Amino acid sequence: MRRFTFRAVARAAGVGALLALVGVPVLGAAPASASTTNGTATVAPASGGSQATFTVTLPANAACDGDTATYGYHVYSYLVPAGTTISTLTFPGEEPSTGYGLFTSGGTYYGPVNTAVTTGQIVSIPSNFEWAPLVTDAGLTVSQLAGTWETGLVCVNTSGAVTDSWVAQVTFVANGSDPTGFTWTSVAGPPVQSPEISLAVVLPFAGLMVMGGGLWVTRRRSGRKDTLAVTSRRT
Amino acid sequence: MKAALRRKGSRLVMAVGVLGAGAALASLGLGGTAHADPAYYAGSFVVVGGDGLQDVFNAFAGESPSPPAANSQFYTPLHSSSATNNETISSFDAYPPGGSVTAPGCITTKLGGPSFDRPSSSSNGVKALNAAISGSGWEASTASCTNALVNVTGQIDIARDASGPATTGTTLTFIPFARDGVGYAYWDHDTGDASSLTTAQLTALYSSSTGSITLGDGDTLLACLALPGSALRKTFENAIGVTDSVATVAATANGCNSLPQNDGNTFYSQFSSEPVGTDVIVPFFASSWIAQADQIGTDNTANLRSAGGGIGTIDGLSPLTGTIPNLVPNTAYYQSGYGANDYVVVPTNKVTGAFANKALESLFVGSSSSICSTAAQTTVHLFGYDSLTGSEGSCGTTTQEGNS
Repeated sequence: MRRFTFRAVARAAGVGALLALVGVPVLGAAPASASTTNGTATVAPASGGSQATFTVTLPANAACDGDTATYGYHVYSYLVPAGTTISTLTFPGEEPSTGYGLFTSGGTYYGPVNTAVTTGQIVSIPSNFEWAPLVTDAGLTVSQLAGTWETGLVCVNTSGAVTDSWVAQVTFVANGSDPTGFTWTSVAGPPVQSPEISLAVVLPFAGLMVMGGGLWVTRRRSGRKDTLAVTSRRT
Repeated sequence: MKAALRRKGSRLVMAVGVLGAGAALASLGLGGTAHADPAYYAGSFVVVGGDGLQDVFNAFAGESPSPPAANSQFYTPLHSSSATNNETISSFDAYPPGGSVTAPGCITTKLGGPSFDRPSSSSNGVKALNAAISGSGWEASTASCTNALVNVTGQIDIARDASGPATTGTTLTFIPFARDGVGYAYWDHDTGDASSLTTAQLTALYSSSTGSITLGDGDTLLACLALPGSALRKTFENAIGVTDSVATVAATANGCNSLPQNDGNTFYSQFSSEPVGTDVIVPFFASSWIAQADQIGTDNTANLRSAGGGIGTIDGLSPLTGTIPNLVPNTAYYQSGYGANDYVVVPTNKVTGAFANKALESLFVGSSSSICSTAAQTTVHLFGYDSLTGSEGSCGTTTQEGNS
């Protein structure tokens, strides 16, 4: 009975590790039917001057829970101070309820945009985003802009609720030699305390710890058996 | 031995586990892949709404009449400045090619967007634009092809409007860009008395519960109206000082309370068999008559013209001068009580504030905007409109707001 328990522990370690292996891709790249919260958005290139153009990339096949054509989902961009809860954003009048967003070099806010038909994939991300319009058009001052913000894309359903979100961090710094007075750098993905990263890190390590426990128990059991065998022979 | 095998087995399971965990950790570094396809978003602004304005907006989009048409002519598309990435417009007619506003069908305006009722008039265009802003859904009140509200957020950017704000509020901004003249088209079976009327006669006709009056030559003149809610109908009723409810009684008496706007052929088809001595009129925009007769717009009036019908003179002023294909507006008429401004209607938050769309502003806001340029105003004139002058207002101003 006791031997069965030791085996079960060892097997559980393996199963835990395999679950961890399976679990990470599910978290990292959500299928069209599953919501993505604080997924990784990547600003590319990762730094530049105010008038440097950039794009935002998402994980392969990033998609909303439903498409625009049939289910009325739309893609919007946002730019909010770090720490803002993205899921609380709404988009009345086709613009974010708070903060700003991504603008093309021509000064056009990105959103609302249609998804791909059926798959809900996000397919129309411009390659000419620019941060300068935040100051030249949207009315922010450089001092207001300076600091760390979160930016990215969200999917919004017909009720106006955010269903999926992808986030990157961007830090703006005043720079007197820049035409608009600032430069920026970006880090892909959400802050480290967000659930997606922590789960993705914790899950495999949890598997390793379970395995370690199994190894310790198995070796302890083997050591006891060897001791018992020696004792038995002496007896 | 067995113990050794068991240890090896356990190690194997744990090795798999370690590999799995390692792979899982490695997968954390997977980022997004770049999208190779060009972005569609940079496209153009979608315009819907009034049928009287559809031809000139087709020209602004690059081609009028809209295809398929053997007589299509091509124009330099209206576009925003190079600094705002030269964005253009895509204008959807109030009715499908060969079709009618009474059966406008559905349209899909942007890649990946839903199919929704084609807005078939200025007021429908404004309603649909409001639905896009609010997310409340849009469905035509008559002849819907969806029979359900459809979310049109992101699918409509601009409405063509020939009547200006109808209600107070700030949701929409009505930007004037041209001047039109409202009048009437006639089908006269007798001596031609219906070709020239006075405002007093028109007021009496549309105030009549029978929808008819007797003209000087003894002919009976019948009153008809364009589609309820259309800018054409409202502008005409305002000009002759008759409320819509009263005019509705007159037109209903003649079975013609809801004729397609600016469609002389349908009008003629319904009344061509009337007996001699019976004449009929229906409101008509002078600009549309000019564009159709000059063959630069979709011609829905050829049969009426061929049968001797025409556009009437009111109080001694003709809405137009010249001969086909060189008809031009009569400025004196357009500056009379029968003149009316035409508007581009946009969400107010797209032309002011932090989310103002610079390309949209470049196209329509201010006297230096694209639509107010000399080239665009030349096109406007070609299609039967006058440029705004004096007290009529100024092209590109954003001072008129409303919720509908």
